[in-house]
Amino acid sequence: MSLKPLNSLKESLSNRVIVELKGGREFRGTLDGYDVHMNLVLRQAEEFMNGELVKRTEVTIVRGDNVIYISP
Amino acid sequence: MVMPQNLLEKSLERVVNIHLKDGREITGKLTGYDEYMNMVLESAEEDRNGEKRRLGTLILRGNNVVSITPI
Repeated sequence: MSLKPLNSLKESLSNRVIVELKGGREFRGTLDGYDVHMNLVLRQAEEFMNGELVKRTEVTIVRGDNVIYISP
Repeated sequence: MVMPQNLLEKSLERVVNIHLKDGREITGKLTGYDEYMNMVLESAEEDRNGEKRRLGTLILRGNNVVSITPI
């Protein structure tokens, strides 16, 4: 039985993750939830644009189709 | 765990800030959404690299969305 990506994501719930997005965007935050589209809920998120911190937010929804990778 | 759609439900009637794929930002009151993440916004404003525009009521197609932050 292989490790399925969404099950692997479950292991990261409540942990800090790095989410790399298309277009040079990156979020770092605590993974609070996700769904089958890989839409994410991130708490205490920091948003980076081309490596530069642009914003801190309490909670943010990231739409799954922008995700390149999620790193625990 | 908070599923993304549940957080959207909780954000109804609140002001949200939405990042779009082309770099635009939209701010407005969320009055509706569906399973595609299409949204209805009221008193919406568009910010395109600092160039602001009032749009009023807006139906936003979900496929353009990068992130949504309730504020």
